[in-house]
Amino acid sequence: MLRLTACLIFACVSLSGVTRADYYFGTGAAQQSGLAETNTVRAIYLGRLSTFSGAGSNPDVNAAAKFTSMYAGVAIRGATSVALYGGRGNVSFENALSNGKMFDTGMRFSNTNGTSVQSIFLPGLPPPSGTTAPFALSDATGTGMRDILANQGGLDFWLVGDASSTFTAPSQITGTQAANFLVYFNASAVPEPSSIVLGLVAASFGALKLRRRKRIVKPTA
Amino acid sequence: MVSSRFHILFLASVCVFAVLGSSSGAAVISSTVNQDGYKTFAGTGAASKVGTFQMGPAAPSYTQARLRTWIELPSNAFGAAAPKLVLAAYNASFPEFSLIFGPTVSTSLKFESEVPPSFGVDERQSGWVSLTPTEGTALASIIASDSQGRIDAWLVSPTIQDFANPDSFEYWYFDSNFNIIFETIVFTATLELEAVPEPTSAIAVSGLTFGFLALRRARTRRLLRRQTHA
Repeated sequence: MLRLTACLIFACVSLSGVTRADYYFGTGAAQQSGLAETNTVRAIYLGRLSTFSGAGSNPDVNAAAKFTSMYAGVAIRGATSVALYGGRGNVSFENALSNGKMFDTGMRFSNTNGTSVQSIFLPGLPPPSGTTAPFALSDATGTGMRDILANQGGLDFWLVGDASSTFTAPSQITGTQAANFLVYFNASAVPEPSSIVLGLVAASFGALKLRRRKRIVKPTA
Repeated sequence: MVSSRFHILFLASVCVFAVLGSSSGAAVISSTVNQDGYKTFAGTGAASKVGTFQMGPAAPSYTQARLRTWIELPSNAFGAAAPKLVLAAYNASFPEFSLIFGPTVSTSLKFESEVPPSFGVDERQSGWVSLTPTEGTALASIIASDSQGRIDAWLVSPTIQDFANPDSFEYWYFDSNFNIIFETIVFTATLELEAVPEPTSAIAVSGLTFGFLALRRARTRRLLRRQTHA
């Protein structure tokens, strides 16, 4: 009985791992808003991403259990360790944060020089442009952002620094070019019921076989 | 007949000299450079270095100034908070407080936020703003203090800090294969100063005009004398 239980637990855990393997969810990009709010922190609204796409992506949010890792790119000036938040709320960042609608991605952006506007990608350029491993998201952040995208149809992104900071994220270069930000998500899939049932059936057969072998090896006296 | 022709010629010449004289009086010196982008802070204010402009050789004084620049302005850049043009000696190591609040040549040229604000980096061309005689001569003195006639232009606000004159802007886009391509725009700025005429030019033009008048008077007298004798 003990072996049967162990076998079933092992099967459940390993199968859920297999079915939840990371995959490329999609890439979203939009023109930066540049709108700044300063209260107890300085927050600049980047914009809302509702559509994710890209070669080889599967942007069906209902097929995703959570976002597991990401890349992000922003155009910034004068920034030192500025945090990227994602969630719901295109105004009043601090209200959204206190209401549990904003999630800290853990990414921190800094300019490498103080005189220019730079496009910075963390942790590096996403595929196919780069090969740097993506930035891992915490379960709370990955699940929270996934749920907001699934339930509200769009994710709002903010850059957040100290109230005394003077960083900016300009929206455009007049008459020339829009300044865009980018978010690239990897996700883990919702476990398929059929996979779980198949796995459990296989595990049960394995356990029964073990039990039968045990009976053959140790015949009753 | 002869006198009438001479009179027309004289008036035409005076007009030519007058035009030459006035253009000499409104000489515009222009300099275009890559923006610097350096920023410094003091108290609640900040100064953003537009660039180092080549304005020499110095004129005796300046009457007007205007500036074209790429600038990033917050939505509250209005009135006294709007960054204004401050002209300072080339590479002078001003304490930040002096630069922002001190006795440099602080003009009334300022850039205010657009309505609605763009939140971008915008190319802005100011109108001509007048310099007071004191500002004009102080500016001439600053320009003359550098052997190459260089001058540093700053945009300065005593109450806002999140404005800037960035030196460049790096943006990106996707190519057809979804690769990220980077491009960089380098920003330039143009400072123009209107100078009062140099003394030598003014004296030359005036001298020629007066000389011409003297010649005309002499010729008229000669003609009158001939007519009297005849």
